[in-house]
Amino acid sequence: MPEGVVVEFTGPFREITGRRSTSVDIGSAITLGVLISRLSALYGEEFWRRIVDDEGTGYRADSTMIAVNQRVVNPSGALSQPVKPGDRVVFALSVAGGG
Amino acid sequence: MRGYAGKYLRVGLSSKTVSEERLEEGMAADYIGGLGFGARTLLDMVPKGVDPLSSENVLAWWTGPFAGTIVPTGSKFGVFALSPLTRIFGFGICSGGFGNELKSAGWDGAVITGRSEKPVYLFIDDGSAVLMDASGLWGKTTWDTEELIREELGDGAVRVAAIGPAGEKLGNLANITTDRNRQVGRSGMGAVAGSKNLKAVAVRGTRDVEVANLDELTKMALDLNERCQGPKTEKYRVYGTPANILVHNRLGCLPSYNFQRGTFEKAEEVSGERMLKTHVKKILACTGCPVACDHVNEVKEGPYAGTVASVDYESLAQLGPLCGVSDLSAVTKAVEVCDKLGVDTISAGVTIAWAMECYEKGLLSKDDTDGLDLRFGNGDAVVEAARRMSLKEGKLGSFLSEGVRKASEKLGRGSAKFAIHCKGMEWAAYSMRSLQTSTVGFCTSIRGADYLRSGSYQVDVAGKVDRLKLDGSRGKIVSDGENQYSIIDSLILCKFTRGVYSSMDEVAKLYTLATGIEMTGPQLLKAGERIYNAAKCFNVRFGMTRKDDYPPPRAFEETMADEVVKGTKITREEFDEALDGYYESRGWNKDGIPTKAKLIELGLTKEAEEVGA
Repeated sequence: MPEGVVVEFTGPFREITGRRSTSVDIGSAITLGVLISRLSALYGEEFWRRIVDDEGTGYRADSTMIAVNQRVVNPSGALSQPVKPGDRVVFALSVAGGG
Repeated sequence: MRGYAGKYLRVGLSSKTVSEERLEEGMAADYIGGLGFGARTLLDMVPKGVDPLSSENVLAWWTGPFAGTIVPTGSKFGVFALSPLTRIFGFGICSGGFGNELKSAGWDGAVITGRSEKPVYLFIDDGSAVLMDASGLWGKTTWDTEELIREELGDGAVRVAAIGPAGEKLGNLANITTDRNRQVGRSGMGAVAGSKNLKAVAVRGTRDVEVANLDELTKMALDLNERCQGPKTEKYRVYGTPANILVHNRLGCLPSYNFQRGTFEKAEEVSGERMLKTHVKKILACTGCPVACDHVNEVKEGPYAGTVASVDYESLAQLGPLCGVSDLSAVTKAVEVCDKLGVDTISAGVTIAWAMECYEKGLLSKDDTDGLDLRFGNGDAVVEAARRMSLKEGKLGSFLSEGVRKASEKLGRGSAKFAIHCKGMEWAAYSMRSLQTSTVGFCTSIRGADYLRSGSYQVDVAGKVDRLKLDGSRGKIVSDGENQYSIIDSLILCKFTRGVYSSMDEVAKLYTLATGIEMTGPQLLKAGERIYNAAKCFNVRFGMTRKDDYPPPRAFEETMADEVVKGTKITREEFDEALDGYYESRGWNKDGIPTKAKLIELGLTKEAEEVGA
């Protein structure tokens, strides 16, 4: 049974963390908010600030996209979404288009 | 009336006449500018049955009320005509400094009719306008034409919008270029200019644009300027739209191999992140824009060393992964070829990718391609195919220059099934099957398959809906997006700043401060609805009905094999439900025709009589 979450980074998240991906041991399910906290402990406060909104309840969807197992997480209530061992989480810039 | 110049040019190329027309305040308030003026012009001046490449077609150039003012990103302009590619409402909205210059010369736009006997360019010098001989410019690239006109006029600050050889040769994918890197793209406006023997429009504007409330407008514009440099536009400023490559790849919605797949195994090699490190030379801004999104690549080594081109997500995706190409230098070269010769990169990429699939399936032989090895992944072949199609050179070039719909009709043998377009417009770089709300928006778009008319991909990629399914509720999402985008394209503002405004009321306030015309957010949205319906009426005039609002067969008949979206396809039942929802939210009948009642409600009374159901 997988015990970790595979986390992938693109754009600014790759720059902040200095890596394309990492694995986070979680043993059992945690919330996305906890996962972000743990990653912030590793990669610094900037990682948190870039993702979590000022109220600390959702993420900054105008500049960030988070997907769990290829499903984009709805920004509303995002931080309470469970993440299970074996999940793949992507932190990326939100999709941009149209000049 | 402020903000607007209050007048526009009428240019008769057949009669060699230039005259001044007054812009009515009613027209301004009802149709706002840009797209709205374009829709009204084509409805009024292009009757049913006109050949897009005949002298009867009109080529209308329009700015919006913010061009030439301090409002950030207001410098855009649009060019409008019956499209030779789609044979419906055609246009391109373009950035750069041309729009500002035109307004500063004292004109809201120019409506060009007829056909010149010899190549000419139109020179607008503040209040005067004259047709200049362009015989010496015929055959020149877009970049050279800009420089040569400036040299001839002895003024390096003159703004030029020009066609390349592709437009002269009436290629359906031909565009118009200004400031080298900015294009009036999609729908073949360059071919319409070419059919009129119009090589370019050059403009010098030295006047101030008067606004209704300068102090308040300045205050608001400076605040917007600040916001434009905040986190909401960082993705455009720092990474540029190519950052979409990896995101789309993760979500299985990056079209590759002619839309057969939604992922690309070499996505990292063509990612925005990689490009920023290896190819981006500088980042430029359009006139009056605090965002600065234009990432200009330079190839430093290898066979394409010295190549310089502005590469955005769409160009990168369609000339890269869609053709199976992972060589950033070859993609940059292909973009440069298209830009200089004057061809739309999105349409070029889709048409070449279709030809590659035909080649791999044995439907096109090496004889058909004049010896070109058109296998997926061959970047050199993409560069060469782009060159030949731009110049209509040889069998392959001539064949591809007409765009994917016509090429597939000519080839036959089942190739139309994987010619990826809607209404003849090649599909932009958003997967049909794994971004399904987006697909509805592509299909209802007044310009054919188009991500810029509703931005409906946003709800898919933001996780606000299930992007792998459809239902009736998507229709209203799409029509609301279309109304909003119609306003953005009429004002004309850059869509990259759409997240900067707090509400449509704020946009309306900006409009009132610039023009003095009282406007609220809901009134502005109503104008957006009117404008979209006006353009739709034009398309109905040219025969469009529900049958034209569907994606190509691949969307329904083939499931995706990519692991992340395995088994996904669109079902006809769900698509029909979404389309029904769309027509209902628009107040149109089930065949996709605006009802008389809806058109009368919007003030389109003439059109209600002509095409209303």
